Amino acid sequence: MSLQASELSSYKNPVRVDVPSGAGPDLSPRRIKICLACSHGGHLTEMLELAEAFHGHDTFYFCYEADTTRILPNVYLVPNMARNPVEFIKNLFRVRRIFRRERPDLVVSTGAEIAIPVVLIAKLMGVAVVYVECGAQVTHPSVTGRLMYWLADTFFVQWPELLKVYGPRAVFRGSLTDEDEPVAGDRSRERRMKVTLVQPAQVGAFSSDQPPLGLAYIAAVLERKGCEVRVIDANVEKLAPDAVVAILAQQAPEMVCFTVTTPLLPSALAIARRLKRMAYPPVLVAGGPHATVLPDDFLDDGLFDYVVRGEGEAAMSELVDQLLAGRDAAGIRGVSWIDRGRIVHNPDRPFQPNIEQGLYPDWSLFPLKRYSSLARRNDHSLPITTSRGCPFGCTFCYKGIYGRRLRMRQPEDVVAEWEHLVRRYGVHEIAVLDDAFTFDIARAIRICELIVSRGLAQVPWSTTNGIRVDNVTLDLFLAMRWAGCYRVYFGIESGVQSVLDSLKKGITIDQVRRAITLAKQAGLEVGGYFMLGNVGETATDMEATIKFALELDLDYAQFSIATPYPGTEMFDQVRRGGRLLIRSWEELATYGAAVFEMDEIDPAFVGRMFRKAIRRFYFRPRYMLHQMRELMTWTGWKHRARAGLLLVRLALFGGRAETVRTGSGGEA
Amino acid sequence: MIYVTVGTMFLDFPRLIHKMDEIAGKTGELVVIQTGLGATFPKNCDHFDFKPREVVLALQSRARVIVCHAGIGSVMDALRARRPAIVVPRLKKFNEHMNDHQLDVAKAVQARGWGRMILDIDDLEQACALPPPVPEKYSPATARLVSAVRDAIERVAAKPR
Repeated sequence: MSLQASELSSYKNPVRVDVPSGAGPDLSPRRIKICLACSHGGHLTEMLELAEAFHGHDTFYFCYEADTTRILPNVYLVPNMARNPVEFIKNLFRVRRIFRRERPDLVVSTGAEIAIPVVLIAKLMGVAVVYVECGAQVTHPSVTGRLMYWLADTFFVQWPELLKVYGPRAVFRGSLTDEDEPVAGDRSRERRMKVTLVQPAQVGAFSSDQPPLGLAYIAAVLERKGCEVRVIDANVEKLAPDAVVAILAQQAPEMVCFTVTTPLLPSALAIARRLKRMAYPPVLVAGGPHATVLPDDFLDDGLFDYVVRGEGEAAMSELVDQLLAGRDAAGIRGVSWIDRGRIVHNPDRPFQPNIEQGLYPDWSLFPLKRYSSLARRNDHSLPITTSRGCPFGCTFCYKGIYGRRLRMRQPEDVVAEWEHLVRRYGVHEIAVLDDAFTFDIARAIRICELIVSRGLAQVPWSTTNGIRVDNVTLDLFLAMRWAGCYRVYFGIESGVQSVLDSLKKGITIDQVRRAITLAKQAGLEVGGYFMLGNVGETATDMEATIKFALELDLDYAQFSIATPYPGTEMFDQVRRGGRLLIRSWEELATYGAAVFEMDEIDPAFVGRMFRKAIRRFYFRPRYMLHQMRELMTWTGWKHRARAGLLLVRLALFGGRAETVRTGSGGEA
Repeated sequence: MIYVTVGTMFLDFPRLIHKMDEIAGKTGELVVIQTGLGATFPKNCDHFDFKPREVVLALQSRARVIVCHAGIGSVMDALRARRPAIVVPRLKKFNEHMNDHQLDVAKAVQARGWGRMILDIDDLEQACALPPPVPEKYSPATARLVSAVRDAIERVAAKPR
């Protein structure tokens, strides 16, 4: 059964989500047992400062014998082992005995070396470990910390300076001594509302593990409001809807906000349905591209309470204010909601010509150690956008969130955030996400100059999402190279002028060649993005695009199959003149074949061309030899091994075999 | 009144105590020193080894200036008292500590504009006479760390055992 594109014109959700019936999993917060391991001095003081975190759980202490520890409740005391190996061995057995009796679910330690025997036994017994490095370690790691960095499941440091010393597994998220920048005055103690931000996932499907920038901005806004914010990125953590619900049940937030692209709608709905069965269901809010184009999908059956359309920061901020004041969403522009059983779409928000200065995404809530992109040289990178919106009208591009009016941030503000990423998060690389980074060449050069003058040029970066080829100069590329840029990605899309024209891309083949030559002259690597199976494309056109990609001497190419997303002009073209071949929205995100039939576009044929493109581009001896240079670093090895496997899989099967339907929640 | 603390470290900190004693003798200002486990005692100052925490906090909040070693507990208390803070790190080369981590703490305090670091003990007199300004706002992200630990606990509780 395939879905007729015309059926979508009613903007009706083509997704079937099981309504769970009968008794589901237990959705009440669970009481766990926590072992608190610390020595008797400052480490104990820090543990006591953290006491609030253990509220509602059972705890027992494991400490050295001292005046300060004897008065603790539920305490196991051992003699101070310092560096005595005999006492260390004895402690291993003591800990094992205690753990067998107490059966802890978790060890929390603030150090010092007393943590070592406890954590070793915990790891052997499969008990999770949270380690908080002592506040006295500012720029030098402790001996225990070095070991715990690898052993602990979560490793917190209390000064951002330590992030660089340890590495991406270390998390700086609050401190007993230091201030924490993104919050601009720690207001989380107010706990005005507990909010969890969720990026749902299509578990098993091909997806890029990009840190979700939109959510990170919302997180910063909500924390500034005094909300206690959690983030679940189910995409990078590979969490099926049930696992997300299990975490939400423990967090018990008052509000859950989802960012939803079209293929993720089924997952989001599956999670929402289960949440509605909780004794005290949270307020459910949806945002992101799909919520913006088709808000009714979320509100139809009363599942979600609010939909935030378009740019979310200001609307979310107002919504939280209103809810805290006991009011509803009346009068908040850009919000759709249910007013007395009726769906109401408040008017769109007025155009905001300026992007707020000094508001930076809060990345500390995200599982940063897990993000890794093959398109970057280094792991532990974070994205930045220096502008929002794009004035061009490409038919495949969705512009519902940031709009078609370009708003550029001040170079000083951009570079201040750049510096913040380096100092506050210790990133090893930065990804510039804008479509229109080079729209104003003078501004782009100014940004590059500021990067150099602030001493940030040693941090590599690239224009990851693809910039345009039509407005570039050698000067610009040189400035970028000197500021640490190592690779530019261009949105090339096609090697056929008539296809580019019908995509309304507004570039010429000659501009592509010129831009690549200039970038190479400046010493930059070049990556290109291409699309196959565009509306109106013929077999000859696709062949020509592959040939074009080969002759351009690119360091990197990414081919994708043209996909009409709701809200794009291409979607309307397919709706009018073709047939969309998906049974559910999540199938939009597959790589195996085209998802629509139209004119000469035959899904299986486009799939074959896609696989051919990958074979032809990447499995050239010359290209593979070229990549050998990158094997000099460990990350280079890791990335190329992963890329190799991925490419072989894509070349043989495309992505379809990998797609697992999460619409039914992936559970029995 | 100047409040001086050397923390709970088992090593002595005569460099600081002698200098403060000298300053007290010269200026006549009341100096109260918490001497801890050390064996050095001042002549011109009030002093005690340890006092209950609430007494210490009350003393600090009434001080004109707080001079402390760069132990993290002392620094936390001094900053939260919202009085001008002068931080004197214990250094390994004077056998005041086993390593130089207090230097890092003191540098961080100075770099963030929370107080003044004293490396050359002879600068202390001038620093006490012209104390550093109290930062307009100092809000350690304590609640945030508590929330982060709580987040990790919730994740563990969500896993079926």
